[in-house]
Parts: sequence; structure tokens; C-alpha cells
Amino acid sequence: MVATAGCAGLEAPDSGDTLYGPDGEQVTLSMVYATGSPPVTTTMEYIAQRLESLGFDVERNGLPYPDMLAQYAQNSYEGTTALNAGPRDEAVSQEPWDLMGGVGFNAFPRSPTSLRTFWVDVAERAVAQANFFGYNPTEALAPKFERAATTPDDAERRDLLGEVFGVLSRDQPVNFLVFDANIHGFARRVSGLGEPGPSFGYASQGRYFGEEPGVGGTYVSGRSSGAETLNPIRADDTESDARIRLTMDGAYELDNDDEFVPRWFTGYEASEDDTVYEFHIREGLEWGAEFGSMTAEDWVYYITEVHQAEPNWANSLNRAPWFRNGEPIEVTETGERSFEVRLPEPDPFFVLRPALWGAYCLPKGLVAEYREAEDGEGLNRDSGVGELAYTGNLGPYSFERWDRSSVFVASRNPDYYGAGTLFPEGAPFFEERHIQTFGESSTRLSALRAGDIQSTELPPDTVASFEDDADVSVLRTPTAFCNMLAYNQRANGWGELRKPGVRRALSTAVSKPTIAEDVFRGNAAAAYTHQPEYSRWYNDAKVTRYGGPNSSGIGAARETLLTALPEGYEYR
Amino acid sequence: MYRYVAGRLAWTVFAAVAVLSAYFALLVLAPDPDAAVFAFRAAARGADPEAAARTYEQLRGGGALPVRYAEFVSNVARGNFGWSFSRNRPVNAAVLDALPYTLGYAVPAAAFAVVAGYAVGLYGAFNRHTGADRLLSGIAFFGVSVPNFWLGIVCILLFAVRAPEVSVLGVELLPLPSYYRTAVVHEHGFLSAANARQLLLPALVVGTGAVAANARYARGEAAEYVRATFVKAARARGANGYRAAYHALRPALVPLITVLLSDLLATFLAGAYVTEVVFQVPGVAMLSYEALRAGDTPLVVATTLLPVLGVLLGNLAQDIAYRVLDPRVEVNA
Amino acid sequence: MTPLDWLSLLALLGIGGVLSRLSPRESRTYWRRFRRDRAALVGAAVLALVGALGLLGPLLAPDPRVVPGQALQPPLFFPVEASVPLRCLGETTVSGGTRLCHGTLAHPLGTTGSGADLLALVVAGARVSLQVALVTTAIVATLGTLVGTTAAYAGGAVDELLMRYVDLQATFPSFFLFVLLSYLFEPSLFLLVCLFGLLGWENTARLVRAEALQRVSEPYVRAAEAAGAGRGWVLRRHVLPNVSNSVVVTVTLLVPAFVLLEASLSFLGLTAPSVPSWGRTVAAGRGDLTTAPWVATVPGVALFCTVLALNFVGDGLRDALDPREVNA
Repeated sequence: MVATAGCAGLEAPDSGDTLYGPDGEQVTLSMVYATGSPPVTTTMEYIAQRLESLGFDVERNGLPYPDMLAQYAQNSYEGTTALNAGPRDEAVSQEPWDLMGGVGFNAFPRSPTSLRTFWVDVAERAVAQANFFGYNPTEALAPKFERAATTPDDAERRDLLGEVFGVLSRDQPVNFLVFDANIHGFARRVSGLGEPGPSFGYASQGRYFGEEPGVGGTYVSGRSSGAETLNPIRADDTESDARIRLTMDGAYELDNDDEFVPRWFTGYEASEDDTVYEFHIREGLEWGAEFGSMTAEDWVYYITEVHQAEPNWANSLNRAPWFRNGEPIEVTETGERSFEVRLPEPDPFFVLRPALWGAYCLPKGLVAEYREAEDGEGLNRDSGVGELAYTGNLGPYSFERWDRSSVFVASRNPDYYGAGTLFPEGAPFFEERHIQTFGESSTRLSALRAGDIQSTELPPDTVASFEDDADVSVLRTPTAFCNMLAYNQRANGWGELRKPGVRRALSTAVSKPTIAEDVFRGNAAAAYTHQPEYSRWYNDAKVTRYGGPNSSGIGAARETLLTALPEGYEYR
Repeated sequence: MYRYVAGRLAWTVFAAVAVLSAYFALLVLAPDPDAAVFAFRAAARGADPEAAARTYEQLRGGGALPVRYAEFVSNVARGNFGWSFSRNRPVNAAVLDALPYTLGYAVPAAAFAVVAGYAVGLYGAFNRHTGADRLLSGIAFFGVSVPNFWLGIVCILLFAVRAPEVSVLGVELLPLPSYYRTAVVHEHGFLSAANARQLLLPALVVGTGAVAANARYARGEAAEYVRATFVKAARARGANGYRAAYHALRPALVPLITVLLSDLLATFLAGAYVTEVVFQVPGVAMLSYEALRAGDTPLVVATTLLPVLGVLLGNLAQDIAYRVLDPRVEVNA
Repeated sequence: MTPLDWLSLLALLGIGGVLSRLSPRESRTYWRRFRRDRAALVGAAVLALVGALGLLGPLLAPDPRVVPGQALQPPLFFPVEASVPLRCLGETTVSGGTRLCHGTLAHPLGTTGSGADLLALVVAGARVSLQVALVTTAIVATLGTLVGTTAAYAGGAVDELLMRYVDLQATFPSFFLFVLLSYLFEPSLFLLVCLFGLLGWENTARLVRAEALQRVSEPYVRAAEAAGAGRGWVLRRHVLPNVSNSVVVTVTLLVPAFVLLEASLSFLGLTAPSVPSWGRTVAAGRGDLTTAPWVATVPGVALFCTVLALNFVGDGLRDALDPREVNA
């Protein structure tokens, strides 16, 4: 019953020798993974089978993502529960594990120094807050990140970051598997889609039906989850952001080349030493519900009284970018429509960070009411906030209604500030814009096939059938989201996983091109370190590829493994 | 009789509170894995984990257990279930919004299931093992033998994606909508033809699941009595088919009703939730599930109360009917 | 053997034990009458086949393995467009302008989206269905009959207490309870099946009690009691056999409901991914219905046939066991 295809990497794994440990038992690895994504589940099964060929016994346990994080990623130490609560010898997760799949981190190619939260030495808890797997780099990475973050010399920065990713590729703290691609399906009559790239869709206000831009029709996009909130202060997930962004453009955008694209802000100036940034707000931006014009006062008030307020009365989830070393960043008005940000240390990436990139704001008049009483819940439940009544001419559409678990409806905003300025006269070109939630993905895809919705994301294994569909056009955009298999280097994992050689051997056994080509159907890029190859910080000369196309597979992996393992391990 | 009814009503209230308390306990005592996701997102942003944990607690409306239980009891008693943090609106509003959508397909489905089921069942009781009986049974059983979600997805494929365009007298019959659009209710009204078109498939999927249950029981219990002595006696006295059926049905109703309501409700609940997910109907079942996943206790309590009350009132009705319909039986009052 | 295997074996022995207590004359009568219903006979044959597959199958067919390279292979004799599978293991032909991929003997029923052989999955699923059927039947029948007859016979406070508890249990919207428990605790198949059984007997108990109460009021029972028969004897001789009718009817409808319930929970993603039940395979294949319909249809047909067979057999059993028929 087992297939015997002749293609390399595809055939069912052959039964190899078994690896025995010093206790005379076969070495068992416990693998946990997040269910919910078929490509991920298949990938994990493939990896398990490859490791079984390497001689291990692999126990598989699939569970939902939140449960997996709660039981296997969080650890407790001295009363604290966090992803990195304490030293790796003492702070361990609730349940023991060796391999974890279905996790992934974005590689933030725009601000790669943010990655230190994953890769810096686990002992530096204040910095390495997401280092739940207990990794100690073989070379200190914290100083490299530090220097790369502050040096004005771009060449030096590229060098340093190149080294960082080189170290990661050799250390294999996790097995970097593949970088996802987003695959978008659009009804053919949608035009003005924009260029595929990391910022795909940043100018979606210009889309239209048919050959020529003209106002008319309802554009429905399908998404697989609903929004959590419409309150920008508490919105930190992509779904909430997608809906809010229909009604508000945000401060500015970044294009596919990471260049500043004006929206509410017309531009900025950075000081020579990259410590002071001054931002300019466009004229003619009017809040709704009679809150007047958008001024620098609104922005400064919002940042200092909402994001930087102690205590966090508004429950802001977007505070972190506004603090450096525990201290709030200084923000002051410099004019009616300009304000400056004064950083304690040089930061050449500031514009690329989530602090102001795509940031929203609320009118001071609205916030001040609740600020006095520190009534964050009151602000949250304010009907004006819940119905986005304050968005005035700030976005292409205005809020109509939100039918939970169903559809978010926004209607065309004839006063949109961007019409005639940033976008052609008459923008946006849809009378109504709907975001429809689909809990069931087959229904979502059927709706696209039937023409009931005009765009949605496509899972990798359906792409071929949509490419054959005459009514649908398919676009791929690469992402920097890296799928990974984490190795547990804390005390409740297999102790040998602390040796880089052992991790390298395990990574060699898994063929990344196979995963990218077979499981993701070519809609993913093999990953060897925590940067995609298209990123300017990726230096091929410094990266070693384990599990790549030239990898010799199980035989080589066995050699490496035996060399790296201490006395007492043998194949029988 | 009145004392009996009053006693049963008191029991109904007690049972409702007991069941809801059990749900409350499960929710509150169960681990909350979403906190881990929240913490992960915060860590990836570089936020302080302790502060993030505090923020999470506040967002969820946490508090000491006794306080929350007291709040829960008072909510149930007043009928005002408080605030739903996962929906960011009052619980009552959320439930009242969702209820019409569920009723929109559940009521037609129930009507269809009862009528079709009883018809098939009674026919089968009187004409056992005939070809027509087999055929009808087969069709009824089809509905209960396929998974609801599979039937729903296949219906969408057949009637929405792959259907040819069919119009009769200018009224568009096919293709049907591939999912339920609340926009239709806002534009055309709840009782409009457009809304009926998009409720057709969900009602069909839920209804077919319940037809066989009804048919089975109607047939099974009626069959037993068809040959019973007193039916023969009635027939001997010259009663025609319908009167005979009535005589057969009356005592048969006793065990029939015993299982009917709770069975129906159970079938509906399981079928309803899956149907709502497949067709994206934002009804009470979906609301309940999302509340469970979010750990939104006030909302879970409110949405669970509906089926609980339904079952309890159904039980009450059946016990009373029991006494009325089959006086042979002594009920321990 | 897992705990679930032991429990299934126990259930099988238990059911066998109960059946063996039928007198030979009774069994012959029942069999003769059952045989008359041809649909029930066919159903019984199907169930026997499924049972055999479930018991022996996993010994003959290997565990379904995931092999991404052989994803979405079509079944034999049902070729599909070559773009559907990643790589076609069989021969590819061109017909009317489109390239078609044909099935192979290695995978006569095709493969799923992750490359697992469907035939192996069907066999593994038969075992899961068998276990679900056996264990839930045993638990429901036992608990329901016990509680129902006790309540009917003991009467008074005992009856009241038991029925109040049955009311409470029946009031629990058990589907949401399953969802809640599955979401929070991700139970294995063993726990899930036990849960089904423990939460599914209340209707049986009610029905048994109703039947028992009716029998107890009937003239022939009163006559027997007046003649000096003890309660136990009356129970065994007059009440249980007539009650067993209802139990069989209820249980044969419950089992397919549980099997389908497991399918629904799989659809919602609440069951363990390692359980190769038919429901799970159908749920996993639902996204491919337009391009690779065999993934959901093959196990779906197996599920459908089994559930249908259970229904017909239940029908036949009820007709065969109806004591009025015996006396008429």
C-alpha cells in the first residue's frame, strides 16, 4: 500500500537503523504542533517521518495553537509567567517537549533589529522576551543587534546583520523551514490591483471594476476571521486593522521598496544623527462629529496621554514602540500641523517601525473626556468610538454597520481627502465596501468561484484550480513570515538539543525544498535563516544551508548526528 | 393539577440555574489558552510581559471567582446578562441580534421535519415493508446518514457554484447564494423572497437531519399499536383508516413525546451549529460557539440559557401531556 | 492494545453475553422474522463487513502514512486533471486537450491532500467506527436500562430523584458541552467515546421507564403479581423483554448519531488529528470537493453505508423483537 515513487525526497521514508541512547532505549522525541493549517500539519508529519528515518521515535501531538502556546511555550519562574520567564535550566514549560511546529515569526526585514526579542541569549530576559525555546547563541548577538540599531553607517549595519543571520543559520536554534507566500485571488473584473510585493495593497484605494476607473458597485472581500475590536487603541491584530483601515488611511504607508508614501502625513525630516524626526500633517484633514481639523495637538495628546500614560488607563496595546529603555519617548508639537519625536539614541529605522507607520489617531476632544476619569472602558464603549463616527474625511469609506460574525459594511466617502490628491479624482471607486467573515474556508472559496465575493486569500493546494478559472486572477506576494520547527533547549527537553551539532543534524534530515515544492506547492520559499533571500540583510556568503537542495539527506545527517552526540549513543 | 404545574415550574427554575452554574464553573475553572496567544503577540512586539498580562486581565473583565459568580446569578435573575467583552456590546443586544437569523432557518426546518417525518412514519406503520415504504424510509434515512457539513458544502457546490442560471417568470431561481448575506435582510427585509432564497439551503440541511428521527419514532411507536387489540376493536366497529390512525396514535404519543422535544432540540443544536458555520449565518449557535472560544462568560450563559430553557419547558409540556393523554399511567406527582 | 481497544472488547463480550441469554427458541423466532426484512438483511451484511474490517483490517493494512509527494492521487478508473495531484504516480494521458492523471494499483481508492492512502484510511476508520459503536452502545444500554427500570419499579422518592437527575442531564445542551470540553481539553477518542456514552443515556432511561410503567400497569402483570409473582420475576419475564424493544430502537439510532457527531467535531477541528476516523477524513477533504472529490466522498460513502445499514438493521430488529408479533 505504500507508494514507491522514484523522485527524491518524495518517497515514503525507508526504515533505517534505530538510534539508542545511553539508557539502552530508543531515543524518543516529543513533537507538538499547532493544528488548523493543513500545510503545516502535513509538514510536521513529513518532518516526523524523516526523523524516524534518522533513527528516532517521534511522538506526535497536534493541538490548537492557543493551547500549544499555553502548555508548551509559556514557562513560569518565581511567580512570573512569560515566554521567557527565567533561566533555561529552571524556567520550563508546563509540559515537556522536544520539537514544536506550527510556530513562526515574522523576519521584519524593515526593522530587523526587532528580532533580538527572539534570538538574543536567553539569559538577557529584558531583551529576549520571546526566546521561549531557551537558545544561547554561540556568538553573542546582543552587541551586534545593538550596534546595527544605532550605527549611522549603512554598510556596517549590513555587515553586522549579515553576520547575525549567518550565526543563526549555523546555530540552528530552530529549524527554519519556509517563508510563506500570500496568494490572492481576485475576480477578474477588479483592476488597479497594484504591484505584488511586501507592501501589496498599500494603494488599494485606487482599485476599480472594469476597464476604466468609475464609481459603482460593491466590492466584497472574504476573510477567515472577524475583527476583535474597532477601537484603534486596542486593535493589535490584522483583522481589526483591515476593517479600521477602510475608514482611516493612517499616518503614512511604505511601498514595496520601503519608501515613505504620504497619507495623513505629507513628509518628515530626520536630523543628521537620526535622533530627531519631525513629521508634517496635511492640511484639510477634518475629523467627523465636529471634532474639528486634525492638528499636531491631537497627535501629541494621543501619544503622550494614551500610549505613554502610566497607568495604561486606555488599555493600549500599541505602547511598546513609544518607550525606549523603559522611558517614554519625547514627543512635542512644533507647529499647528507638525510635531517632533526626540529619541534617546539614534534610530535610522524609526520611520519603518510600527510606532507611526500606518498609525491611527483619535481627536483630542474625544479622548480628553475620558482621560480625566482614566475611564478606558468608557472610551471603549463610547458609541462614537465603536461606530468610527470620528473618521470624517480621513479615509476612503465611512462606517455603515458591523454585523458580527458576518460582514463589516462601509460606504463610499465622497469627502475623502485622498480623492484628487493622492488618488485620481473620484476615488474610491466602489459605492460600498464589505469585508465578509467566513468561518469555513470551503465556503469562502466557493463564494469566490461563484462570484459572490471579489477577493480572498487562497490556500496553496487550491491555487492550481483557481489559475484555471477564467473568472479569477491569482497574485502571489512573498512574505517574511518564517515557519519554523523549534528545538527545546530548556531543561525539560532532550538535553542533547543544546548542542548546535545535534540541531544541525536534525535540520539536515529535513529537505526545505521538498516542503516548499511539495507541501506548499511552490508557494513558499525555503528558509535557512531568519531572513528571506529577497531581504537586503540577507548575505548569501554568510549563510550555511542545512536541509537545502544540495543536502545529502539521511546518510549525512546520521554522520553529523553521531559526531555531535556524546558517548553512549549508537545505531543498532 | 395546578400544584403539579407549579412544582414543575419551580423545578424548571432550579434546573436552569444548576445547568448554567455547571457551565459557568467549567468556563471559569478551565485554562484560558488565549492568554498565551496574547502574551506571544506582546512578546513579539517587545512589550513588557507583566504589563501585557495585566492588560489582558482587564480586557477580559476578570475578577475574583465569588464576585463573578454573584454577578452571574444576578444577571440570570434580572435577565440582563451584562456586557460581552468579546463583542464589545451588551449581551442582550448580541443575543437578540442573532436570534432572528437562527429562527429564520430553524423554524421552517422544524416544520418540514415534523410534517415530513410524521407523514413518512405513519405511512410506514400502516404499510410496512411495501416498496413505497422502503423508498420513503430510504430518503428519510439519507438525511440522517450523511454528515451535515458535507451535505451543506455539497449543496453550496451544486446550487451556488456549479448551478446553471435558471429563472422562472423573471424570478431568479438558480444559482442560490453561496453564503448567507445579512445585507439582504437590511436591504429587502427579513420576510422577503431574497432572504428566503438564502435560508433555503440551511433549512434543508438542518431539516433533513431531523426527518428520519421523526419518521422513525412515529413509525415505530405507531406500528406497535396498529395491531393492538383496541385498534382492531376500533376497526371492527367500523372505524376507517383515519380514525384507526387516531386510536393508534394517541397512546403512541406518550413515549413519542417523551423523546421528541429533547431529541429534536439535540438534533437541531448539533446540526444548527455546523450549518451556521458552513453557510455563515450569524445566529445563536455561532454566537454561542464564539463565546465559548473567547471565554466570554456572560455571553455563554445567555446563549446556553436558550436551549436549556427550551428543553426544560419542553419537558414540562411533555409531562403534562403525559398525564392528559394516557390516563392508564400513574404519574408520581 | 490501547485502553479503548480493551473497552471495546469488554463491550463486545457484554453484548454477546446479553444476547446469549436468549433462549434458542426465541432466537430462532427472532432470526426467522428478521430474515423476512430484506433491507435489514443487507444492512446486517454491511455491518458484518464493517465489523470484520474494523477487527482485522488494521492487521492486514498498514497505518495510513502521510507522504506529501503523493498527494491527491486519483482512484483507479477515475482519472483527473493532471494539475490536481502534485505529481502523478500513474500514467498521464491527453484527452480532448487536457492532460489527465490516472490512478494506480498502489492506491486503488486514491490519496488525500497529505498523501495518505484512502484505502488504509477507510480500513482504519472502520475500526474507529466499530469502537465508537460498541462502547457507546454498551454504556448507553446499560445505564439507561438500569436507571429506567429502577425508577419505574422502585417508584416514590427513588423514581423522583433519578428522573430529576435525568432531566438535568437531558437539559444540558450536550453538543455544546462536547464542544466546550473538546476545545478546552482536547480529549482522545477514548475519552470522547466515554463522554458520548455517559451523556447519551438519558433518553433511553426515560423511554425505558415509560415503557416499564406502562407494562407495570397492564392487566397481565397485575394478574401475575396477584398470583404471587415476585418483582424480580415480573421484571425479567414481562418488563425487560418488552423494554428491550425500546432500548434496541433507541440505541440503534444513537450509534449513527454518535458517529456523525464525531464527524462534526472533526469538522470543527476539535478532535485529535491522529484519529483516522471517517468523519475526520471527510472533514479534511471538504476543501477539495471541487478538484479532488474522492477524498471526502470515499469515506463519506463508507460512513453513509454504515449509518444507513444501522438504521435498516434497527428497523428490522424492532420488527423482529416486537412481542406482539410473537403472540399474534
